[in-house]
Amino acid sequence: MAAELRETWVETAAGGLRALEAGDGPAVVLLHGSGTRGGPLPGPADLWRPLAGRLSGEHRVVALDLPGVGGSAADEPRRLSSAGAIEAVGEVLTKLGLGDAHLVAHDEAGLAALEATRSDPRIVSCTLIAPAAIIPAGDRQMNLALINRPKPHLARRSLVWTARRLVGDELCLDADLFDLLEREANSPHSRVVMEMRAGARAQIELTEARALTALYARVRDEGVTVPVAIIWGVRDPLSSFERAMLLHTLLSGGACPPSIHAMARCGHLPHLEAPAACAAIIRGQVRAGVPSPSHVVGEALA
Amino acid sequence: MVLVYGGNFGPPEFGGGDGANQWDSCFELLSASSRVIVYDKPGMGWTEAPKRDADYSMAFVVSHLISLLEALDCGPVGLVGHSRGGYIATRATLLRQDLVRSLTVINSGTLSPGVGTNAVALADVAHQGDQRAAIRWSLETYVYSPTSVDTSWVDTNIVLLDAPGHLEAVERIEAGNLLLDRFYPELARDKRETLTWLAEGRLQRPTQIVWGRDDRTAPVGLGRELFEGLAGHEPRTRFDVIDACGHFPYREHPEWFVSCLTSFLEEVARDGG
Repeated sequence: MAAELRETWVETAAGGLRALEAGDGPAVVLLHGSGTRGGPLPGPADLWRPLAGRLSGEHRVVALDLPGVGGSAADEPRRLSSAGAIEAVGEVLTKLGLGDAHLVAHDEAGLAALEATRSDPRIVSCTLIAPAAIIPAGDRQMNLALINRPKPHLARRSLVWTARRLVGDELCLDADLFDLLEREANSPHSRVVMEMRAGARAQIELTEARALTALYARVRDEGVTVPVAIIWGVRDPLSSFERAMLLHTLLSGGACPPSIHAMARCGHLPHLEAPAACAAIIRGQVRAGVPSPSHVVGEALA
Repeated sequence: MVLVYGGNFGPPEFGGGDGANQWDSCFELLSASSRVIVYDKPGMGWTEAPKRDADYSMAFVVSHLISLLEALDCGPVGLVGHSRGGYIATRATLLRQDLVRSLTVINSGTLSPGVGTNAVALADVAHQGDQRAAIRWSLETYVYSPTSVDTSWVDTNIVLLDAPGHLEAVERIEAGNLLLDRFYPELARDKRETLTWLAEGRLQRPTQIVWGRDDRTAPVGLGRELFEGLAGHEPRTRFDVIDACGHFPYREHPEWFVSCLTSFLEEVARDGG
């Protein structure tokens, strides 16, 4: 289902932010992964189209290009960190007049999203999709899933190779998607940002490691304070369902019980692989305003 | 016997700052029946810091232990490693079985398959108040009963934070981002190889796994998994677990630990090693 998304620009002191927007109703803000640390695939807001299309009937959906990605500017390395992402979300909520908002974050954007649930009272729920990058990893265990990615990594062949290994079912991959990934990976803006990220790599890594540590301490001691749902594809090659359950345990114990939803056929991109099931869970998050108990969602929803 | 304690070089925020003093709870008890050697690892306690950036790796710490065993020249030893030291002792044994008669591994998330939970249990240790409060908080998080954290343990750890080797290591690590850039990635690679070697049955020495059941940082399930993997290859493998005990069995239950270790070493001696 294709969403009729319109492009919106939000001006900030750190440069313009690009967002795609559709629908009316409670605000749902979608945050892509692969922004902060330069993940395996480029992550512009356009990747949310299949999910946004299923939500825009009842919600005002805003898919944001985080700073440095797609059309959004990043004037300094700090803007590429999760702190920069939190700032950007705050600016978009204010300038678009969204009021209270439900965050949906893919992979590493989960760090910014969870932190925003504490720092920004306008965030009323948080859905984490395939949050592999924020699962406690002990001594940073090796993951070999993408160890032999064909070079150059920005070439279409390499992007296709990577996308195929990330998903549980290749049916969601098509030429339009590969066009989008290739265009984004090779845009002049992406190349400038990539150089900036490379120059500040050590600093960004240390900042993000500390932000993750601070998040672990907070949720360990306080749990989470808004409804949080984890959506996990059992075939995600970047971590395991067992590890995802550990993240769920870590987030548990506070006033607001979080839920986890496992999808048997999905890999690392459930919002592309099973957008209907993801939309159903997000609608539940929005409607209830209170978390649902942990359970496993079968394929019936997909 | 040679005892290898846990932790690594670097700032306390990343697990740095320990020393051989950790063994003081059982040192005398053990030395009643054996020659006992404890030592400070490179860039920790009173041992010098590694001089080259390339040596801020676990591989270097392992080779340092092997050099120590060679220099001691006392025949194959009973090697005992706690936490990160359990990995170091095991890796050294795999590389140089001629230097080791038996291996004892205590609460080692670093060695076990699976993932330890330090990152969560000890998150934000640097922000738990002043240096003394942070050290005490960290040790109390590791143990089952906070009363087992005595003042002298905390005092000695504070003194070690001013040791020249520790300070030099911290300075080099911070200047070169050596933990994130080098130590962790190389440890992840070597651990993978080590687990493969263990699964292949290459650890052909009597092995004892000792575990405190209530460890928040290295849950007892990790120890069980480690034991079951080893027991499939080496019949002289045992697993000793104690209740009401966190990460430091030899501090929380020193007499139990000493009796456990001593009985294992006697078994090995009876068996002819």
